[in-house]
Amino acid sequence: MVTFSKRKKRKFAMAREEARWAYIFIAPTIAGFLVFTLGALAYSLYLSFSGADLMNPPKWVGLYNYRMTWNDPIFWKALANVGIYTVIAVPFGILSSFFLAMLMNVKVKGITWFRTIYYSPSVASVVVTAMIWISILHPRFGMLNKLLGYAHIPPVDWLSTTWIMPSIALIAIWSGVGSNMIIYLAGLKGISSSLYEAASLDGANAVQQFIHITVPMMTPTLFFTLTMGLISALQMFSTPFILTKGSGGPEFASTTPVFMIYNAGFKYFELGHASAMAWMLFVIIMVITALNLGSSRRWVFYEGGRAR
Amino acid sequence: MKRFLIVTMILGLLLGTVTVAFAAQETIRIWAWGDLKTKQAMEKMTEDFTAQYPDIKVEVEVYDFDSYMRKMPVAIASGTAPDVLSTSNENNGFASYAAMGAFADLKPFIEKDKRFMLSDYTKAALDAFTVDGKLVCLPEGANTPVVLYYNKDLFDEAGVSYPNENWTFADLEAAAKKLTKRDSSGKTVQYGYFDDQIVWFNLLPWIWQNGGDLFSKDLTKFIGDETKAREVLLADHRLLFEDGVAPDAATFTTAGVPSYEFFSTGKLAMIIDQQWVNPRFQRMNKFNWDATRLPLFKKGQDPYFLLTLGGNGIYAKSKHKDAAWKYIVWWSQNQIKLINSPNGSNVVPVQKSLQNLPGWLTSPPSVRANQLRVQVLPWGKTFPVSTKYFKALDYTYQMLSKLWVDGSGLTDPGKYLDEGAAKINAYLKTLND
Repeated sequence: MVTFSKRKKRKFAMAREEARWAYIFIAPTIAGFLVFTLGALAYSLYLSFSGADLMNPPKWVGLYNYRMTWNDPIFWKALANVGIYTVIAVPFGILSSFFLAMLMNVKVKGITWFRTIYYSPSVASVVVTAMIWISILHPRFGMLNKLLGYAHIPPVDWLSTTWIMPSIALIAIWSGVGSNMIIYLAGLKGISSSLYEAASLDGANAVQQFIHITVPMMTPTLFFTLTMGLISALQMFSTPFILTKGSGGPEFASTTPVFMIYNAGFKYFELGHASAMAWMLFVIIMVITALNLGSSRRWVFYEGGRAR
Repeated sequence: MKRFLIVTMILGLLLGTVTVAFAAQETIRIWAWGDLKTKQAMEKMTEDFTAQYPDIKVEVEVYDFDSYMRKMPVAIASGTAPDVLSTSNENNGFASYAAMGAFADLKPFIEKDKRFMLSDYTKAALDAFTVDGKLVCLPEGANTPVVLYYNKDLFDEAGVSYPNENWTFADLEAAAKKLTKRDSSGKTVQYGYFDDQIVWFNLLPWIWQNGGDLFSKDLTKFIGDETKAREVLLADHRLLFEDGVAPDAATFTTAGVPSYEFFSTGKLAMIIDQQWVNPRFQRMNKFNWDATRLPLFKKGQDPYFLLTLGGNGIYAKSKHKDAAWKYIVWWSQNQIKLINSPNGSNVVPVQKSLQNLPGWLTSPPSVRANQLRVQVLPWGKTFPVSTKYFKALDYTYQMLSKLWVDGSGLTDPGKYLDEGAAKINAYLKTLND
């Protein structure tokens, strides 16, 4: 008994010692987080209730910035724009990445080359990507309309008010397909082959295996990419910014909320207004993410029970 | 004895240098934007300045435009902006800085400085930098008075007489039609006309000449759809899209090709641009070209134009305001001489005493254009110093963009303008709330 309690005590002391070191090691990161992330976050919340420019101390204006944003037709237009973008880019992005990951999971010679090729768009800079796609989508000189012309389909103005957000979604799918593919590939590799072996012994064909093994086993990964995809889609900024040379046109058709935050903050130096828009967007994203999380218990399958 | 004298003299000289070095306590920081030419001009100018004022040390940094525009707000926000704030009146930057009080009022310095002559400056140029009755920047030179550049060889070939200062919009349109060429398949191989991508630079002058404007003075109403402005907007749309004389602006904005490249490759007969393209055109030797003033909208109208200027002010939080004042006066009087070398960008001086300097008037072949641009200075109009105005202008640009960018599919530009006007008016209402 004595020895046991002594050992327990020593173990306890050791754990405490370890914990202390752990805290020391993570202290720089925590300090950085508190000052540069949480601190900045709190300050931006304060700014959103104030009239702030770059020089003068912020003045409290209450809900003025929020009211202004609420009444701004361009803000709602921008939200609708990212809405269209999200509805196209997220599901189609996931489907195409998933499909590609399935293909890349096949054991054939030189598969690593294919993986590299399909991943390469993710490495290209946004500027390069936008320039390439301009040359494809340009209404007059673009390759796409030329191809349509061969098929006797009249040219489409891919950069017009109607088409610009779908076009941007297409660009995003193309450039994001590789990075999600890697994640799915890792997920697919993680599925134990014994499951497939057991299923095939029971006489399940490839389609049945896919529906009853691959998809359920992949739902945690799909859920992760869906969540991240939704958040980043709603924060869309760089592609339309470069594609339209910072105008967000035509007729605000490619203006996104982050685009407006950027303009308010760095073009007109209205930091309060920019912060208010940022917080409104934050709340919207939070609600959507919460809904997504809530729905997840219906369709996400965790091996060995729910991870809570 | 002789040797002793020499040693003493050398020592004296050294000591002198040391004393000068110690006396040069005051340091001012200057940021400017521009290319290598500007940098060289700034350095030369600063050298001359230091020779004149040895007790002021000047640190000059020249950035490219984009970096400058990114750095300045951050510097102001952190209170580390340079002593001299360099700006220009045609974008919202100046209006925003002025609104937050980044500039010191120049009045006390003008009153103290007995040699400084404010009356030497064109009134319109001073007005451009006057906020709430206070002059906050000294204009350094006008850089837009819009210029019509033309390819003389193409005019000769088509047998069309060269543009001159008596030209009107109708002349421009007629010539542009004659100067546009298509090949057998109907593809345009030579364009007659194009304007700069920044549409306001030539549309606003025409609207003003025609007696109209875009907004009511108090910025509560869009009046660009009323007869006088409407006439200009629709005429410009006709010229760009219905006449088929111009490459579509979308060609440039989306293909990333600067519009002047079409002119410098000899595929465009006339282009309206800012004169910063001068040095580019001067370097090419492919064809003969010349320049004249922007044509009037109609015969007999006053030659109003959009006056855009560079200007320099003193940072409100600067600790060396007196030294900064000396520098901006120097800048405003001397840079023009350095920049307007034969290959320079031909900025038009806004001081009467500098307008007849030989240097920039003799720079061929845009001599005539330069003289014309000086003559029209009294008709220069400027953007109001108001961020609200620039927001309204941005919104208007978006809502009416088909009038000037990719408007080939527009069947009824008049109706489009009316619909746009309604949206712009709704926006002005929210802006004024």
